[in-house]
Amino acid sequence: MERLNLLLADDDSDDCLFFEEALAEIAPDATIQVKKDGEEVLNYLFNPQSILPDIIFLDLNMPFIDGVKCLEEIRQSNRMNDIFIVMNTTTASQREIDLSFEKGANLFLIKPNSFSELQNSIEVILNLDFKTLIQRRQREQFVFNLKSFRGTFNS
Amino acid sequence: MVSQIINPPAKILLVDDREDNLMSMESLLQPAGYQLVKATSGKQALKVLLNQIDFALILMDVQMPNLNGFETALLIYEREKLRDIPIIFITAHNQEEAQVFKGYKIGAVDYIYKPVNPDLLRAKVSVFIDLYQQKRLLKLQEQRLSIINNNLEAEVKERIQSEEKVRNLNLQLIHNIDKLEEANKELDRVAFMASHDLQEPLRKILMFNDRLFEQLKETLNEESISYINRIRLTATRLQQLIKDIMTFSKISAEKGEFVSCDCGKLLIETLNEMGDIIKEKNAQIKIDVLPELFGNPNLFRPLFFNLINNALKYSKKNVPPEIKIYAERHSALSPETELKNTDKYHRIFIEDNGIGFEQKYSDQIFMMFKRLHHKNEYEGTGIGLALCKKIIEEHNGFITAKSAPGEGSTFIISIPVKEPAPQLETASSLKNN
Repeated sequence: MERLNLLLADDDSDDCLFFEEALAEIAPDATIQVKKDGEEVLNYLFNPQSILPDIIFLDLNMPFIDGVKCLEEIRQSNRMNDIFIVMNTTTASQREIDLSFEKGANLFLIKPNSFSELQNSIEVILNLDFKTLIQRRQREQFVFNLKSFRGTFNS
Repeated sequence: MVSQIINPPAKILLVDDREDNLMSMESLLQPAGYQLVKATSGKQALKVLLNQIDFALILMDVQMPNLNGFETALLIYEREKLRDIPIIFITAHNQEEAQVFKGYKIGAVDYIYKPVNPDLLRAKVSVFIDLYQQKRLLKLQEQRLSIINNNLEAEVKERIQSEEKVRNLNLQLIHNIDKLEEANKELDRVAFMASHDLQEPLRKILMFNDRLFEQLKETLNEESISYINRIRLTATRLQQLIKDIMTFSKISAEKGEFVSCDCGKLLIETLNEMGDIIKEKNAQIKIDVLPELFGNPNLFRPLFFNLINNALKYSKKNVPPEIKIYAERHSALSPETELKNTDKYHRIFIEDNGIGFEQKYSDQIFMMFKRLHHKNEYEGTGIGLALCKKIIEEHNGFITAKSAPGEGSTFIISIPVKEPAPQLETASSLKNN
């Protein structure tokens, strides 16, 4: 696996902890930036000195600037066109899923209920062919499902 | 109408100091059917008039001792109530004397000169009596009209009042409906928000439980491992419960637009999602040709999911579940509704060979949290069928169940037939080309 740069945006410190622990076990080489809200995310990304991540995990419900707003800002910048964006939430409504797809997210991940599922999900996602998926966004394969994604995309 | 009113005999007061004169007047007037009252002096006449005032006419001799006729008349007319009674004076004197009285005249007065001509007397009396009767009738009529008028006024007033009341009640009703709808929406919102906010800590409990187990699993004894598993099971059950409540509360909010849905396709999609449990139960599912249903596919999916899930869940031990799904077109639920209701319904039957239940519970099973079994026997939150019912009701349909213990159950959903809009058909035929 090539060295990946991740950016995680989540105001929930427990979820950040789970994510970092899971990531440490499956991809110890990967680097991760953790941001607590949308504003922090945008400040980081729009700072020319920052190293842009390969993949961003954006929590939907964050204070100040929420996930969708953040997504919109990112997608308006040509510089960040090829960042793979995964929207993240505990419970999703159809409206949130539709909106995220419409605003240009690449994947919608409903936070798993077990640690092993979280690990497996992150592992499968990190192994996706980002370039192809960014070019060909498909509505049917927008909501992440561990079983079907593992079969289709695992390299 | 006037002629139909029966007149009581008119009353006439005869005043003369001479009995024989009274007698002769009486015999002249009696045949006409008048009621005659006699007085032999002015004083007696006044006395009579103290008690009776309903005279149509007074015939009075002018020449009487003590009070003569004119003086008596003046005293009579001093009383307001008697002023309308006409007086015919019977006098031997010429007209000039009578003119003197005219100065005081208040009521209607006439004169008959002695010797009395019987025909003239009868004629004059008859004219006055007729006048009196007509006046009386007019008065009656007027009274009647005024009563009718009053009644009408009262009626109109009452009607306006009741209209006002109805209007107020209507407003109150509309207000109450608004309030109810608002409260309902608020409830749904609260349920949705609460469920959403409850999911997060629950997910974390599960996660921390996992982490704990991962880190301690080498050192834990069997009992401790079982506790940790129970934490996971309990939290998972709570999660399912919250999820179900959330789905339930979202139905009204997410009713969305109705479209024509391929029922068979929706069902197959649902079955594909349920692949694991169907395989695990070794279930046989037969689907007949199903109609297009008019509604929201996002609501039909959980409907089918819950009905099939139910059929799988309540299967007999060691008997592989067999589920048949078939449809009947254009019939109402029962003979009564067919008679009353011309609306056509699509009926879809979901029939299983499971444990069934007693028919008397067929209403209860659709109520939220109603269960016919202990929690340990069969999993579930007690929301599934309530959800189905709510979904069907959002589509103006109804759901019923037929069952007997040990003989399987059949759930029947009836949804109004609505032909798809013509544009939709063209759109799909274009697609086919």
